[in-house]
Amino acid sequence: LLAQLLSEPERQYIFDSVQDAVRIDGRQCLAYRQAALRLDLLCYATASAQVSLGETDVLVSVREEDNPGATAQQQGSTGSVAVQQQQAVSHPVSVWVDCSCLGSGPEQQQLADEAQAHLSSLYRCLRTPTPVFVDILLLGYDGNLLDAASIAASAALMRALPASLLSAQALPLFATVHRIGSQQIVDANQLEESCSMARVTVGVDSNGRLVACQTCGEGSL
Amino acid sequence: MQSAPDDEELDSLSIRLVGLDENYPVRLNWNDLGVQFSKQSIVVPGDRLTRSREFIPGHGTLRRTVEAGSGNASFAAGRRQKQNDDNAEDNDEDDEDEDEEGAWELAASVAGRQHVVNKLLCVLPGRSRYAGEIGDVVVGRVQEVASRRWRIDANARLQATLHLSGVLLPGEDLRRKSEEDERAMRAVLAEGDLVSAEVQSVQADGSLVLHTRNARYGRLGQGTLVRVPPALIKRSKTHFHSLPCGVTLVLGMNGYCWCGPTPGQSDVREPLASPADRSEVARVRACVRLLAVNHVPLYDTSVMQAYEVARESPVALLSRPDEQLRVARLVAEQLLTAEVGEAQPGGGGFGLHSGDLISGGALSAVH
Repeated sequence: LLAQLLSEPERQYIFDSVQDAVRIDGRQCLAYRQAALRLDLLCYATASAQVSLGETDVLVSVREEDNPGATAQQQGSTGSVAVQQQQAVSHPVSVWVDCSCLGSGPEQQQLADEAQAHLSSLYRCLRTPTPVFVDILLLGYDGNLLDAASIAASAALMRALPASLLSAQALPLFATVHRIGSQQIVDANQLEESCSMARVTVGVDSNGRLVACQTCGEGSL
Repeated sequence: MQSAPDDEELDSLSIRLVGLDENYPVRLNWNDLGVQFSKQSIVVPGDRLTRSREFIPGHGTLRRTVEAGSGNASFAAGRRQKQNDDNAEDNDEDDEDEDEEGAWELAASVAGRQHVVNKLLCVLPGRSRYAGEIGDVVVGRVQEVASRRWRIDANARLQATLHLSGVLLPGEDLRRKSEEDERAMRAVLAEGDLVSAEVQSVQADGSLVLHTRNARYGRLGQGTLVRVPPALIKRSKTHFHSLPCGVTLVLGMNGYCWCGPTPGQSDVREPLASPADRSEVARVRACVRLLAVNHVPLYDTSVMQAYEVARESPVALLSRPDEQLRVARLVAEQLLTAEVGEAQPGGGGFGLHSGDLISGGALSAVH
């Protein structure tokens, strides 16, 4: 997502390393980095969580709208009746991504915009009766923003949303798979993302059901 | 201590829950290893260093005059503060006008460690941008190909310059440089290429001019780059290390370190590395990173010691902070015992540590 300027030999080395199943940091192709999770860091949020996956560091705060009545009236009236009924009682999760800690250049802004678009579409599977705002602050980046954000957001949403709501629908955890050459890798770091041809991100709930799916990139999977 | 996780555990996503008050990740604490700093050796901006006129102000210091008669010349008492460029040359001109009876003192302008070489007194900051000195070996990445020069990112405040006349072109001895060389610059070094070079000169604005007019410098091939704080790179005779495990390590003074498989002696241009080579490169890379995050000075001995300690662990485990701390601690202890073994007299009246390998490394841990 945030491509790095690399030389051809470096790119080739990363590519060949993945084909040989010995990644730059020695991991196997389907190995994750260790994640660390901190909860309840922010006092003003309904719930918050921070996840560091390698050097990727995301801080997620979840806030529920205080006055749900006001936004319910703004619901659109177009669409089928069934959809309208659903819209009247449930809202999609609103996602916001902030990358200002990484810098103020256009690449960081593009990363934030893309991440916000991807996460919003991935979280369409989740609907809540009151509007819920998920703010994601990126404190450090070394690849795999989507998975790290999903871990943090799930942890925060589990604490923010009532149990009745959680049992009806399940919180998804995203797993991003990148395709490099003929191999697939999970939890790509920034170097590997710069060399990947395509990626697919799937959201899986606790029952193992596929609830979200998204692809990106020019290659075929 | 928990036992090392097996391969299955390494592969799966493990989420470690960290308490709010817990200090995570835990990094090496040099104080635990018995490294003590004398109170005088670490200074913050404004601290008085000396009032003796025998010292020449170096980098990181400033001269200021204090009012005559005020007994305790603390930094708050100094009324007329004369900011000085920390150049020894300026000092000679100012000596003539500085003929006043008022006492003057040398104060620190940055936070760091005092360093005395003969009469030169300077303050070395623990963490700062790489400044560059003539003769330093650096690793840089080409950002831009301009007219008869390349602009290189060398982790300094400004981009470094590599002139076309500063590279060794193939067959150069046999012919003169021509216009074609100018147009074919990208064939030598293109945007994104990594290059090892030596600092030829430092311009007035602080930017570096590099050159690669030596067979060992030039474009770097297969491998990866590791970025570490420049203060951790210990200056040594050579920065190109061919480690016994088949890995070439280039420790650039600017903090860019490059690890790659050592090219064989065969005629093959760029033989593809084997999985075993890649594993060794990954291990050396992990060792450099774990030493850097634990503020251990980086040079061939420390990296090799880390490699020996980490040889049995799976490489993927070396990305975990617990394992990084364990290895770094062992390496630091070995380095400390080695330094005590070759004890040298302490320097100056300022209580300096004789071994700057400890001071430099531990100071960056203060931040």
